[in-house]
Amino acid sequence: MTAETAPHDVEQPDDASDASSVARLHVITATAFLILGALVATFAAFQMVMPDLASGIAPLTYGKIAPAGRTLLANGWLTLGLLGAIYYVLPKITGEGLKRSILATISLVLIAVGVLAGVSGILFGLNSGLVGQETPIWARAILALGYLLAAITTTATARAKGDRLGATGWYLTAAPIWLTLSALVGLMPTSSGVAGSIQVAFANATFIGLFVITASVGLLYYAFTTLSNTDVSEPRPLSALGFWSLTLVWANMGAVALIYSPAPDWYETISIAFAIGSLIPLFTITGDIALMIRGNIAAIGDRQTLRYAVVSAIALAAATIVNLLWAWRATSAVVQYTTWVNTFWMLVVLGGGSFAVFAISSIKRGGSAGGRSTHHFVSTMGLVVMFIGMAVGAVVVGFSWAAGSASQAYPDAGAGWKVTAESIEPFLWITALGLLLYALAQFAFIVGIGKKSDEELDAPDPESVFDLQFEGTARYATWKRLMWGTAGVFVFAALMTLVLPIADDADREGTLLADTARTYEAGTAEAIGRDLYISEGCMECHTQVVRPIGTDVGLGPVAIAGDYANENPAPLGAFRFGPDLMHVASRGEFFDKVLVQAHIEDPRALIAWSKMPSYSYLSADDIGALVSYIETLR
Amino acid sequence: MDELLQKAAEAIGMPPSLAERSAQARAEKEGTTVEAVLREWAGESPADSEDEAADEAAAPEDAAPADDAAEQAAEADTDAGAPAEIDTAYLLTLAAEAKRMPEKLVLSSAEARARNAKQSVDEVLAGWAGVDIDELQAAPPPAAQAAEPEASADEPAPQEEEAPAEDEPAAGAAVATAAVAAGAAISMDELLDKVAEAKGMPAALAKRSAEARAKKTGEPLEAVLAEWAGIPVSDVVGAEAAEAATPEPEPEPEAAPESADEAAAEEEEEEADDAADDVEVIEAAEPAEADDDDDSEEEPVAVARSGYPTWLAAAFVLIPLFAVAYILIAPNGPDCGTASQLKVDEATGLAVNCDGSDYGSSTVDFFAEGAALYAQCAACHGSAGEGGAGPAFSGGAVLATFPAGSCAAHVEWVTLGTANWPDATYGATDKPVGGVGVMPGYEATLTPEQIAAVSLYERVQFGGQDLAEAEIDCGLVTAEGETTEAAAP
Repeated sequence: MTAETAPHDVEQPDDASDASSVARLHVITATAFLILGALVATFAAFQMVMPDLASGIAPLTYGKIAPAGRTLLANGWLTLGLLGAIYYVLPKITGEGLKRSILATISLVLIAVGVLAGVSGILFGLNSGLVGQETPIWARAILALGYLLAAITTTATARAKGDRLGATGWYLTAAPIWLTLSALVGLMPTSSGVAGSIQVAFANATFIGLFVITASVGLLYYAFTTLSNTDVSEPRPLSALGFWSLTLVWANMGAVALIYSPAPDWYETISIAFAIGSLIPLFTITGDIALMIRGNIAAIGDRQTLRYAVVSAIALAAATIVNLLWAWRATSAVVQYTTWVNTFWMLVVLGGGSFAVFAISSIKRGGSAGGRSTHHFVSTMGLVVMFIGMAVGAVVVGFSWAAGSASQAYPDAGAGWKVTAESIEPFLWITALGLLLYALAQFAFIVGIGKKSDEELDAPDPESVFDLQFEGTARYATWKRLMWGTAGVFVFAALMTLVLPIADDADREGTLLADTARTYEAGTAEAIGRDLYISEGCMECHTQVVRPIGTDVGLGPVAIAGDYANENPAPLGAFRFGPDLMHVASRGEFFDKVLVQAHIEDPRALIAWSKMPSYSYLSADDIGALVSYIETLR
Repeated sequence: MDELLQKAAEAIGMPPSLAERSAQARAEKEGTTVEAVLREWAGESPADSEDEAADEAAAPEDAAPADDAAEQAAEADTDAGAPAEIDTAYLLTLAAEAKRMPEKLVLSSAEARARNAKQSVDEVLAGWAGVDIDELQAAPPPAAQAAEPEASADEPAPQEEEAPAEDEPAAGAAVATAAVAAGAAISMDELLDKVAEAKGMPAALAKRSAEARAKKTGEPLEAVLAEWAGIPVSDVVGAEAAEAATPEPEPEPEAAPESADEAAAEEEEEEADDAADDVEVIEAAEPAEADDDDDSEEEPVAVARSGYPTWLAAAFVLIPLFAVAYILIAPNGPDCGTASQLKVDEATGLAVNCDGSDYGSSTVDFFAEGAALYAQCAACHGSAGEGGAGPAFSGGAVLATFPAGSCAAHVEWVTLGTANWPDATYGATDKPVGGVGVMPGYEATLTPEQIAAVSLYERVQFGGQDLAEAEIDCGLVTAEGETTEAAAP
């Protein structure tokens, strides 16, 4: 603080400067992860179109780079960035400093260490095989501990004004608690078969829905109301409806990732119903914010922050629609397993979540920080280009599958895949270029961060914000109710999309396929091959699930839960950039042991258009084991 | 005198006690009588009173600056675009000025409020502008008001003392909206601009923060702003006046005339006169806004909030209903055939058509199509094929005429009918054409596929031919089980 920039000596409590330095430290660390993660993800995206990029270098295979990039962006950048923004905003709301800020600092260290250790684990062959939770379990344990400390800090801070938290406060208090609970569920040992997939789906859905989306919306509430100088005093019924409906529907979205899988049908149906329900918070929150700031829009001087917040809001709205189309079976029959899955993730993580953090870190200094408008423009362009590449590409690929199966042109997974590979090629280029734009833009962001420290104290007098936030209370918005509701939402979601679907063990008894082929005794070549399949990240491109729909006709018998009874984790997969491997060994002329081995060593020697990385770095024994494993996929 | 006071108070929109006090202050200042002032306020011509004549003559120099002010005020009014008639546009201008919101937003908020409160838009706008609509309509238009020198130039002071903005009668409102308050060497707006510049935050936010601080520390708002702007407080002439406008409890109007407030009001009047040739248009709602506790500040926001679009409420009901309906109708997913869902063959585990045939094979139910088309034939051949005007099909009769393998002849007969049939007989039994009634040709009304389908139906339903065999016989399906290209365009 200098005399020039702060003519009025605000007597901020010591905690307040603590809060802003903790928040700044988080955002700076997070930005380092953002740049690293965006570059790694860009590298992976270019490997899709240039499969020989870094070919033959073990830690740089697509199957390892892709999950590493996602982890860096989601757990490194976004978790730290959102927590940092929460540390900045919560004290503004309560008018008091950050409580137990030492825990926040320890949490920062734990999360950073957890992410770095986890990403190293993925790169050096310790992939857990759980899509979305690829880091080794000990790394996730470190993360969970970090999340817990962060949640203690934020909860203690919010509690100071527990009964008088506005909508912003509800979101930002609940999000870290849910983050911790979600991570703890992710730590529980997975059961074998489809039950394990349900568990992973729950952990992923609660991380995205109850942490990323919830925290982002909370930050947007803060950004929009602060910018427009709007009174968000009384706990408004519409805000409360938006908060509880948003969190309830997104908590129950786990099954979207398992549409048409052998998971119980009713479980899939629940996620579709909640995906329909997700339109309620979309309308409610959009309407609530619009009604709140209506009339005060003209007062918004900080257009830069406004632009960030608007992009974030649009990305979250688009993610809601994409999620609905993904969950909706009729649409999903075409787009599931295509780049559609990535579209949703991109919109939430790189769009809604990231731009919410950008908005908060730009508040009050938007006009003066150079590079911010460049950063905003290029990042947004990157998002738009990625969206075109992923979403349009997904639809094109889906229709290519549907047309192929309807005309019975593809008697097996190999033949006909060429059509898919060729049709998606331009879209993979577009996606890679979009991601590159996005990654480059982030260098402009870190320039802005450096400038920020001088102007930090230009933030409004906490007192005034306090006045804006709390006047009046309502009986439904007390601290006690918030805490019970937070627990209630999580317990309800866990019951509906975790406990009950796992308890429903219809068709889970091992089938003939499971007991004769898909059983792996430790030490056998098949088991070693299966471990390699997981550690090399093969499920980044290959699914092992045949769905009862037209696009999967020709892949062999439809998968049922019992097929996976003896596998933990079950390799269902979430991405299908390469053909499905569920019954690959039974598919006519395509499967030949010698050819498969040659294909793994040098994919483009046999199939010129193949996008598979070369695994020439694996030893002959390892490749033999991998082929033995693939032979069991009958 | 009381009557006059009553009248004047009504005209300027304040309680008589306060009006009297203000009149006293003015009379003292201008060296005129209280009665003259009241008379003037009440709108009675000074010439009506003989007493007034002397006063008028005695104070010509006073009249001059006041007239100046009046002209300025009139100009200000014209600038603000006040039309001659009281219409929505004019009220909108007033309300927008009072609420410091863009007109468009004010209008939409007002419409929402009007809907909810079942008032007219004009009434709502008038309420926000602090104007009584009836009085405004009855009273002369603002230009005329402005011609009343004192009313324009001097009223703001007492007006500010009396905060409640609601239901202000015409004169007060006109004054407020004429927006001539003139004031300070450095106006509030200028000051705010300076602070905003110094602090790099929007003026509105700066004001908000300053208000909070002023409230907390008990300093006047202007003093806080001046401090932030780096200007000596003494330069800010309006400081004391602003203090009067801070939300400290005001003395009862009945209190002693020489209260601190009174003094402040007087001072402000003086300033107003001093600055008369430098009149500035400032927001009429300024004094109200300076007061955090004033309801009127929050009003536009509150109104906007209550204006939930009704379709949103409908969405809250419809979306959950839709979601619940989905669960109830398809708890275990869609039936085979919808949402791309296929059937899983129990023996092979493969995904197959809903009828158990291989995926990609015929999905057209020609038999059902033929059954529907047969309704046209039933008039002559009977709904159960028992015959009527035309020959019977049942009991294998149809296959006697067109035996298995000769579906093509069957189709040709239906296509051409008796009129176009080239031979004298038809069918395997050489039935005479026109022997039993007239068979119309369906070439013009049905497609070849439809004729084949209805023939298929007759042969299977009444002749007992095997469906799969008949489908091939009639050329609807190839021997490999695929729908023929011609049959399934």
